Amino acid sequence: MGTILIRALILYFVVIFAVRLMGKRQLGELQPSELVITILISNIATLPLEDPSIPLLPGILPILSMVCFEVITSWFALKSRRLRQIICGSPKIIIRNGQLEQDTLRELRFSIDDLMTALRGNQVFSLEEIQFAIVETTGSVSVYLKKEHQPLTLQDVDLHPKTIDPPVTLISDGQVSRTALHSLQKETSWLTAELQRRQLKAKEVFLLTADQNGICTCIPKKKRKGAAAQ
Amino acid sequence: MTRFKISLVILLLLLLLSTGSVIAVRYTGNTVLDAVEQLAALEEPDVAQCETVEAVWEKAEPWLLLTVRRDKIMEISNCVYRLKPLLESDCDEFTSELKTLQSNLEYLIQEDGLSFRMLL
Repeated sequence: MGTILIRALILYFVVIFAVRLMGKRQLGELQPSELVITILISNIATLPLEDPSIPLLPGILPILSMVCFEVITSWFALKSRRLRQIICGSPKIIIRNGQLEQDTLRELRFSIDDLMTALRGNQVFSLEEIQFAIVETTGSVSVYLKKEHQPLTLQDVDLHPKTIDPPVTLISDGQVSRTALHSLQKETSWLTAELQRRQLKAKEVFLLTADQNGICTCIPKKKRKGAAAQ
Repeated sequence: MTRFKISLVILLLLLLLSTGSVIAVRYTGNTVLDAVEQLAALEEPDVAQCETVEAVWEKAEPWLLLTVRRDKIMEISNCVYRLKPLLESDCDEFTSELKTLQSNLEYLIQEDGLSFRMLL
């Protein structure tokens, strides 16, 4: 039992490391090769866990080698467009100017139900509204609407507001983020003054965000019932 | 680029590790096999020679345990430790046990010592 526990712990760290090495991608955005590797890793990792007669080294070796092959292949794919097309495939247009490309749909084995589901996911309910719909290499559908169906933007009404970065989290659960403070080009003294104005200490703050103009939103920590009674 | 470099380093380490394990399996497997073949070549095998095979196996076993499936090791181990009692009891099974041990070791060297026949 103890052996299995230790092996499980080692494999846990190996799998976490392997997934981190592959990089950040959401499950729905995995390329075909990445999806295969992810499924393979989860299968291979269970073998030395289930069967203690398999030594740990030959159990870990295929996991790491698969991930390394994937990272190296994707690096080369980044350099070569041809290789990228071989490994990942290429995006396909399935709707052009409101008209279905039926041959492409058949080639992709994409049913009309699949298509309508994907379009509804993009908030589109009529084919007539679409200029282009493209099936990406990840299998997701991107939609480009006809000009008359595109939402109104500030540019359309000739408004040009100053762009500002989104607010950053300066204090999270009492922890001050120096990096966020630095990104806002503010000093610690400014943050201390903001806290003093609210009669709070950093450790009493649950969330404090601020934007480039120095406008802060502060949510103090709620006192626990037990602590309040004391 | 960092991930690419880390992957290359890991692959290199894995390559070294697997080459090392192939060499270790071949070397230790052949050492035990030599001792077993010496015992098989004797017209009248003696207990001392069986004990030599056991001693050679005891040295090889810890290394093999790192890379070879434990059930295969157990199979070979059982054969090795059955030789002496079979010889002492003058049992006919001694020769067949010796042959089983030889074939198990040959199979181990072929399978875990990288043989092209086993690749496909």
